[in-house]
Parts: sequence; structure tokens; C-alpha cells
Amino acid sequence: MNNNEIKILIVDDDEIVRESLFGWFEEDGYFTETAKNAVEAINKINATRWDIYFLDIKMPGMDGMELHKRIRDIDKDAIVMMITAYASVETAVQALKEGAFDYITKPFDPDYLSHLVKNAVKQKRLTTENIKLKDSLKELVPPPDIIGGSVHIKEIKKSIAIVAPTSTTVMIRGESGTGKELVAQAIHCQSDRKFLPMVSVNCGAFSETLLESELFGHEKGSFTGALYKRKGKLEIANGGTLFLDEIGAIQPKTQVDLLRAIESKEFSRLGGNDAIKSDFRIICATNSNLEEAVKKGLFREDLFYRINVYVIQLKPLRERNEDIPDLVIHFISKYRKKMNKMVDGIDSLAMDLLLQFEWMGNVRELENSIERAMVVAKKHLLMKEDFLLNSQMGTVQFNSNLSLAEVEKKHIINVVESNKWNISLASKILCLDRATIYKKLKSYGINRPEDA
Amino acid sequence: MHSVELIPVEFNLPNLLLDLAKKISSIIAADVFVEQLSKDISKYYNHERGQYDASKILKYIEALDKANYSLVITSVDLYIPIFTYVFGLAKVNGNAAIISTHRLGNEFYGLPANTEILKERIIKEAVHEFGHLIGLRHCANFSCVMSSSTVADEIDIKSNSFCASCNLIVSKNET
Ligand SMILES: [Zn+2]
Ligand SMILES: [Zn+2]
Repeated sequence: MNNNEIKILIVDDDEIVRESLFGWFEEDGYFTETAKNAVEAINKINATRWDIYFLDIKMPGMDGMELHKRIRDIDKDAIVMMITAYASVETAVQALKEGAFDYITKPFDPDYLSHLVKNAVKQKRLTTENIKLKDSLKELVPPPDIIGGSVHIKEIKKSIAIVAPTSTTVMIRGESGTGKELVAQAIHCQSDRKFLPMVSVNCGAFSETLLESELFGHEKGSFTGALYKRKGKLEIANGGTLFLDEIGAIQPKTQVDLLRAIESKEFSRLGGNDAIKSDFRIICATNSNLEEAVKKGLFREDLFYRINVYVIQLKPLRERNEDIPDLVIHFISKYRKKMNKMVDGIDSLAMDLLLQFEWMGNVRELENSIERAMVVAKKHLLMKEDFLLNSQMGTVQFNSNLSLAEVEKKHIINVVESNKWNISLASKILCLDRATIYKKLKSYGINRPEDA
Repeated sequence: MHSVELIPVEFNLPNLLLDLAKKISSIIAADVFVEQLSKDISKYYNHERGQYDASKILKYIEALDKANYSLVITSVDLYIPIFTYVFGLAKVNGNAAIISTHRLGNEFYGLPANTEILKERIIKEAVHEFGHLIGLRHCANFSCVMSSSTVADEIDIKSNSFCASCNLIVSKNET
């Protein structure tokens, strides 16, 4: 049942209400018609079947309450929403007792109406046929590629395939830059929640109040600057997956609230009282030692056990060097497209350099250096120099207590050596004339080695 | 090829306009140019609500009877009588749309202002409303720009372009 098979009838004597609701539902693709009074409505009801009705309570002639009863007599499964002004809320409550689905008070929050109608449609779909969103959605966000042929990567892929279709909470652990969010995305894309988004929160990026607002949302005016109500990520993740990165950074008070929300799937917005229900699956990630934090009393033990259910541990890149060539090829093709550059491979000396490097920043650092090398690359292969010039991967390790003269010396020597003492090349790179380079080298007491 | 006039009205980030026009143009594959003639919308202000009536502004723009699509961009807060607010408004297959940046900025939600996020949200809302003008309805694919967003944080989830099925409808409508 697609949206255009859902029929909505709006009955209101106010033209503006009819017009604007019609426009709104038109954008959603529902089949919509309007009637300006009960008589016109009854004619339309006799002519065809309607799924959802919006009835104004106060209308001249037969009012919405009476029309509601008539509709019920014809179709007891009809979904009826009453439209009211503040003054007639009590009447609307009476309509609920008589079987109305819900009521809305003018003017209403568009987000609220959107939810109301989605719920109504869901109920309609369940009662008429058992077709879910899945069938109307042909294409999806493709699962991310997890690159590498090492035993470790194979095991990670296996773990993902095992845990994805379940509703188990997953904890992804590993140094920063190892691709924890990518693994989370892969789990989400292979789960039956893939039809709705994975919503990510980096818990380390917010102050305590802002993280609470980020997670649970807030009501207007609940803290300085909160001029409008905000929906939290827990609510936005309804039906999908909530990815909590750097979970170890959450403060104790928020830990309590989060634990309660995870267990009951219910919470309230900051400064609000209404209980909000949301059905989300949790995937967490951390690069910190949570066990240690639990011991020190910084991380609640009960929350720890609640989230540390199925653990996926990612190895640092330096412990799985054999994945580097695949990753390099992957990133080259990624940036070749992005930068529109003719680079299509890597020189073997450059690859050797990458294989020997320690990669403390893991895959992210490798990706960054490929990107930087692609910027300066002049040939169709990435060369060793492309890397040396653009990162701390050469022999030069610049630190902040070096004088400018020392940095200059290190850099000149590095460029000369990495260009195999081709002084013309070095002079182009350094933008110094050859004579100056020779003079500098002499002053450093450095001579051309025999084999260069 | 479509042509779109981007019409700033009470828009307080004029230095973003050219950049926005360029980005929107590349996404919707249409000429987008910035209209500089100022428009007076003061009579559509509702003092009780402290907001501007989006449907009345649209009617006023539609009545100008332009040859191209019109896309009004404004910083004032918009409403339509039945709703407490709207981010934007467009009639399906109409010729004018309006978007408001008023509730798109992080600073209205107690967060530090972020121009990059704001720009992305404006672009997505603009492309979305333009999508309605060329006949598209809301899309169930959450990453498609035509998926419906009623709060600012939801805009961040979708991409700024049409999904394959929406694109198909666009090209069908063109022929
Ligand atoms: Zn829309
Ligand atoms: Zn779409």
C-alpha cells in the first residue's frame, strides 16, 4: 500500500484549513479530498471508501461529533482525527471515548501532525494488509565496504554478519581511526532496521547539558539559548539504530538517564514531562578502557554491563600490515574520483614506506596521507616523495622545540635524500636555486654519499 | 533546462547567496540566479504570532507571474494558519516556493552557531521545495532530499540530492 493508495478526507468549513491540510497531504503523496460541510462529506463517503478522516468539531449544520458517529456506523475501522480549537478540547476528549483515533488543536505542530498521520497509516496498513515500508522501498543506502583480506578483517566481517540481524547491543572497541563507525554502519545496513537511518552521536563532542539535549532533546526555554523545542537523537533514531561514539565520555548524571532510556525505551525531553517512546537499537564505541573507568567509579557498572554485550574489538593497523595494500588502492581510487586526478597506483618504494610506518592514527591517518600525497602527485603513480613532503613519515620529525634553522636544515636534508641527491629536483621542490642548496649542505657538513 | 530565481526577502545572510545559488544549481541541474529587486512582505506579518504568513507570501510571488520558477529565501519565521511554524512551503507543480532559515540555525537550539551546517540545511530545504515545484512528492527513502523533515536535526540525516526513483520521475516529467 503506497501513500497514494491511502485516502484522506478533510471536512472543515474553514477554507484555509482545508487548503493547507490538502497541500500538506498532497506533498506526502496521499490521495486527498476536502468537504466544506457534513452533507458534502456524506456524499463523498457514500461514493467511495476513505481511510483517514479529519473532522472539524465545530461546523454549522451537522457538527464533527455527529458526523463521526455516522462514519463509525458505516465503517467501524475508519481512522478519525478531530480538529479542535483550544475551547473545545473537552468535546474532543469525548470523541476519543467514542472511538476517534486522536485530536489536534489548532494551530498544530507540523512534526506532531506528521507523526500522527504516520501512526494512523501504519495502523491502517496493519489492518488491511501486512505490507511494511520495506516493500515500497526498492533502493537503500549500500553497506560500506570494509577493506582488507587479513584474518582479522575476515573475522570482523563474520562477527558483523552474526550480530547484525539480531537486536543485540553491540560494543565496538579499538584505537581511534580504526573505523568503528564504519563497522557500526555495516551492522546497521545488514539489519532489518536498514530502512530507517543510523543516527550518530559523538558523546565526547558536547558539554554535559548539550549532550543531554543531543540525546533526549529539549523543550523550549529549558536552558539558555534553547529558543525552540528540539527532538533528541534517541527520538530521531526511532525504528533505526543509535550509534553512540566515545561512550566513555558520558558524565555520571547522563549515564543514569541513558541507562533508564535504554532499558525502558522511554525518556523525556530536557525540561519536559511527557514520556517519549522510541524503538532504537544501540551500537556503542569507545577507545578508552571502560573497565578501568568502572573501577575508578567514573563509569557506572550497570550501564557498562548493559552495553558491553557483544564486543567487536578492532586491531590497530600496525598489527595487520597485510591490509595496507588493499586500503591504499581503495583510497587512491576514492580520491582519484574526488580530485579528478590521473593517479592510478603506487610505486613499490612508496608502498614499502607505507608498510613500514607505525600508523599510530590507524586507517584514518593512512587515508589522510594518501589524500595529501594525491594532492602533490605529479605522476600516474604515487611516489615516495609524495608522502615524504607531506607528512611526518620521512625521517624528519618536527617538534615544537626546534629552532627555525634546525627545521630548515632537517627539511633540506630530507628533500635532498628522498630525491636521491638529484639537486635539480630538490631545488624545484624547495624553491631554492642549486647553488644555495650546495652552500647549505656544505655548511651542515653533509657530503654526497658514495652510492647516491 | 529549468531556470530558478532565488529571491532574498528579509534575508540576513546576503553574502551566502551566490554560493548557495551555485550549489543548488549544481544539484538540480538548473540555472539559478539571484534576483536583487527588493520585495516588501511587511503586510504578511501577523503581530499576534510574531510570524509571517507563508501562504500569503507565496500567493503574492505567484501573482508576479514570472517566466521562471521563484524560490524565496528569508530569515523571518514562517507559519501557515493551521501550523505553529513551517520551514518552507511549495505547491506540488506550482511555480513559487519559499524557505525560511529561521529555525535552521543551531543557535536557536542553544548550540554554537555553525555556518557550514546552516548552509547544508538551507541547500537541502531549497532543493526539497524545488522538487515539489517540478512535481515530486515526499519520498520514503530517508537519504533522499525529498524525504520529509519537520525538525532541523532530521534535515542532517538526508543527502542533498534526489534518489534514483525521484530522479526517474524528474526526467519523466521533463519529456
Ligand atoms: Zn515537502
Ligand atoms: Zn526520493
